[in-house]
Order: sequence, then C-alpha cells, then structure tokens
Amino acid sequence: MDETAAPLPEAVSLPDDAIREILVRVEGTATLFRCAVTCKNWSRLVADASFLRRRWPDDHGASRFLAGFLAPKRLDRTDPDFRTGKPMFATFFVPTPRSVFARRSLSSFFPNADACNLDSAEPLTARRGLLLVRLSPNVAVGYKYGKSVVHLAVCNPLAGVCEVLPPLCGHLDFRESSYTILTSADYSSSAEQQSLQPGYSTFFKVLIIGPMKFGPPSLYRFSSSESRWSKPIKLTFDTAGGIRDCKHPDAIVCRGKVHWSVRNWYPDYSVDMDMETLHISQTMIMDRTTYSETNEDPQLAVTAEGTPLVLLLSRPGLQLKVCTRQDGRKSENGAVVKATWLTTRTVELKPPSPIKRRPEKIYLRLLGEKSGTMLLKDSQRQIYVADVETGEMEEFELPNGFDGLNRRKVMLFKMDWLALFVSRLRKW
Amino acid sequence: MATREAGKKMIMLKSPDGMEFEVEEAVAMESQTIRKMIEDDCADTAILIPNINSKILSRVIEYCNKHVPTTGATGAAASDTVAPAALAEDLKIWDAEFIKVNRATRFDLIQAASYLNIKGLLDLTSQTTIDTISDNSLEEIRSFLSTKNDYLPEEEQTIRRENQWAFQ
Repeated sequence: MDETAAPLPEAVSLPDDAIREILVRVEGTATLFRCAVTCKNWSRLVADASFLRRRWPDDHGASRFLAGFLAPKRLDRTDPDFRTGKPMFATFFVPTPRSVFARRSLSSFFPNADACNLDSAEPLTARRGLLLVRLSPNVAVGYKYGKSVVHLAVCNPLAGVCEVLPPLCGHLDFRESSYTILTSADYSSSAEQQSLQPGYSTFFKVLIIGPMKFGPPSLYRFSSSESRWSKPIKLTFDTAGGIRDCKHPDAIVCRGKVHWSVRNWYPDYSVDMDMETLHISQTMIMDRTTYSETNEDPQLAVTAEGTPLVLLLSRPGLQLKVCTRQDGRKSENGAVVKATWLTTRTVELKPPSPIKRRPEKIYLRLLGEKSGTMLLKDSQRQIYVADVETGEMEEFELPNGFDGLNRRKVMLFKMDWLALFVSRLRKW
Repeated sequence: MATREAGKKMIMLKSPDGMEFEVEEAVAMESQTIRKMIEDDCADTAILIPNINSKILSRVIEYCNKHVPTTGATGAAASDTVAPAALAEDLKIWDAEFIKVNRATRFDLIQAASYLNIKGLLDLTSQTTIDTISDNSLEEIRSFLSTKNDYLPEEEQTIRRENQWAFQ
C-alpha cells in the first residue's frame, strides 16, 4: 500500500480500544511482541490479562509450546567455568527450532541465585513454568542416621526466581523416584490454596513417589503453604504390585489425577493418584503381545484436551502407537475396578526428506514429549522434534557437548505465551 | 420485539456536524451499539453518533447497507437466487474496493467500527492495517501508526537482547 511510503505529517492517534482491536488480530506471536514494544502504552495494553486471554482464549494448549529442553553439557575450553582435570558437566538449556530462547546455561536464568548451586543441578520435572531441580546431586546427597538427605529447589526461569526447599530426609531411593509439581491452576476448584509462607512467591506442591530402602513404596509431599514436608504416606495397591523403580523422573497430571510410569517386575504399570483423596490405583500399560513387539519405553503424555495417553514407538520403524485409557468393569459404587491402556491409533512418522534410509533401518528413541511435541533421537545421534498428531518430523542440530542423551537426562520445558508476555512486558 | 412488525422501519442517525442519515432499522442494527439503543427503547426520533463525522458515517452506512442482507434473519431470502459462496466472493471483492482509502480515513473507520461495535467492519479495517504492518520493522510500525517511541535507548537495547526471537 502506497501510504506507507509517505506517512501523513499530522499525528493520527488511535484510542486504546481501537489499538486493542488491531493488536488482537496480529497473527504471528513474534509480530505481536514487536508491536507490543513499539511504545510503553502498547506494552501495557498487550500485557493486560484480559487482552492476553482474548488473544489465547482457550486453555487447550494453544497458548503453550515447547521452548526447548534441559540437558547436561560437557564443558569445553570455551566455557567460562571450564577447569582442566576431570570432565565437567553443567546443565544447559537447548532451544528447539524457532524457540524464544537462545542456548544458555540453567544458572544464567537466575542471575540473583547462587550460581554454583544451579550449575550442576539435575532437572527432575517441569510443569506450568516451574522447574524442580536437585541441587548439586554429586555433593549434596548427604546421609544422616542411615537416611539420605536431598536438597531440592523449585525455580521459575521466566521470573528468575529460585526457591530452595527444606532438606528432605528419608529412606526413599531418590534416584529411582518420580517427581511432579502441582500449582494453583491444578487446584483451581478446591480450597487447597492457603496463604503462602514467607519465602515462596507462588503456591505449589511437590509430590514424590518411589521405592524405599526399607518397607513399601511411599509418597512424599511438600506444600509451599505449609513450608514443610508432610509425613510420608505408605502406598498400598489393590492389585498385586508395587514399585521396583520409576521409569521416568517426571509424571503427567490431568483431570485431577497424577500418573506415574513405574516398573514392578513385569510388565509396565501406571500409578494413578487422585489429587484430592490421594487414592492410588494401578493400570497396566501393555499386555504381553504388545510388549513383545517393542522394546521401547512407554511414554505417558497428555493431549491438549487433557486426555492421558501412552506413546509407544516401534523399533525399528516409523510407527507411533497411541494408547488411551480404557476403563474396565465398574464396581457397585461406580469406581473403576480395572482399567488398561489400549492402542487406539497408529501415527506414521514422516521424517524430513534428507533421510534416505528405509524405515526398517531407522531406530528412533523417544527422549520426551510435551504439548503434543516429541523429542526424538535416531541411532545416528540426530535429534528431531515431531508432532504427535501429524507425525511430521523436523531435524535440528545438536550443539557440541551433548552426547549420550537419554530419557533420564533430558527434561523438556514447555512455555506459556501468556506468562512470557507478562514477564517480558510488565516491567516497562 | 415491537419494532419488527413495522416492516421497513426507518431510523435517523445524526452526525455531530449536523448531517442526518435516514437508514433502515435492519441496516442500523448491524451496529451492536445502535441495536442495544433500539432494544432499550432509547431511540425514538434520531440517534446522535458522537465523534464520527458525516464523511465517515456515510461510509459506515454504505458498508452496513452492503452487508445487511447476507446476515441475520434476511440471509435466507437472499440465498434463494444467488449461491452463498458466490455472494461471499462478491462481498469480498466489494470489501477490498471499500477499504482502498487513505490511512487517516481507515483509522477513522476503525474508531467508528470500534465505537459502533460492527464486527465485520472492525475485522476488515483492523486486518487491513495488520497486513500493512506485519512484515515491517519496529521503526516502520511506529511511523505507520504514529506511535512515539518512549523507551530510552538502553531500555530498547535490553528488550532486543532479551527477546532476540521476536526480532529475527
């Protein structure tokens, strides 16, 4: 349009309402951000909660995206913290293609926190913008009266806040345990939210389940409104079972339930816990026939609509099986007695054109899944992001120093546009 | 509603510069703001439209006139003779012609559409503006929308450094 070439000399100022109408229609998120920082007034208009809710109206995942993942990086001579001698690792953030972040160390997100603590912190789980880490796992696992002592911290990378929890002391086998964070958004309908103890900027709960060195598997709970660890609860299961180890350090949460992927002896189960009642049940993930076809780890996932899923990747091949939970027979009071995870559809993965190998020569590993985006690695150590719905795969370059990535070392980090816009625009 | 049975009831719209426009009620009710006034019985003789001059108001009425038969209760009658898809295509071409105005007029139309709450017109005018600014740099967006950069140079540097993703 030619009027851009010769702008009118007089200032044409639009009222805020009209500007809002224009901005809410801006398509690209990056373009919206650029518009927002044209002046402080627009910044204020965009960072407004009602504007952001109008822009991303549903909470069905459209506002969330995979920002990248956290993984240990072997430090080399170019890293400022490098010392000669034994190999050194630090936790780094690796962006996925077109992410909003650049590659940087985890500690660089927290300029005011004690950097030495976070450099080698081990990410355990990430949910709703909060990240649970174990501080200096090599140093801080202390022993006290035969119990292990673990130091955990809950961090908010966008806000740059890192809150260290009181040390957790117990017989839990922390290396085989599984962790999750619950926030006020998970408890929106209940009276769970109480006043915060000083030192905590937001309401959260940390739940840990795992095998014990002595006795049955237990559940540990921490709440920021009480600022202490509750007495551990011994887990009892209706069916014969237990927990030998937790397959993944993180859990999924949907529809008021927490699902952990665990192993007893054979086969794999999910442990399902009601957030309100803490009632525990177990659901078999695969029957024997499915199990014999694949040696891939089942991966728990949640759809945008909040349906729990299990993802199974064929090895070799390019097939992704998606299993949903089928409730079996119900008892008289309506409670589900037996449920299973059954394959409901198969997604063909579509590798990018440069891969010439035949599907039976391709061995993919699932490194993680968040918001319908999977992180995959092939036997040639190439990394991909792939869409669970379409199977579309995109290749990207893994920087040096990230060798030997596996499911336990990689922690996918999901971002919320609303939170990002607020954190980047409110300060102006 | 009592006003419906009168068939083609006319409404008088007045601009602040004294011009009067007689329009069909159905056309005027394209504007949710006017619809509300009519439904609340606040519109016996004439409705004064503040802040919108006669030139812009006549264009808004032109838009509503064109768009009224395809929406709402009368839409079914129109689609008997013309296929809905062809009609929509026709409207699209008309819209594209309608919005070929200079920047100041378009901004006036946005304001008018925003005040009168006419969704179609608001979509059209805002979207056209968006299409113009989408691929432009910060400076071009500022000059086009006449906003003043009130960030200090160091503040702007910080924004660019922290948010490289938005400036690539």
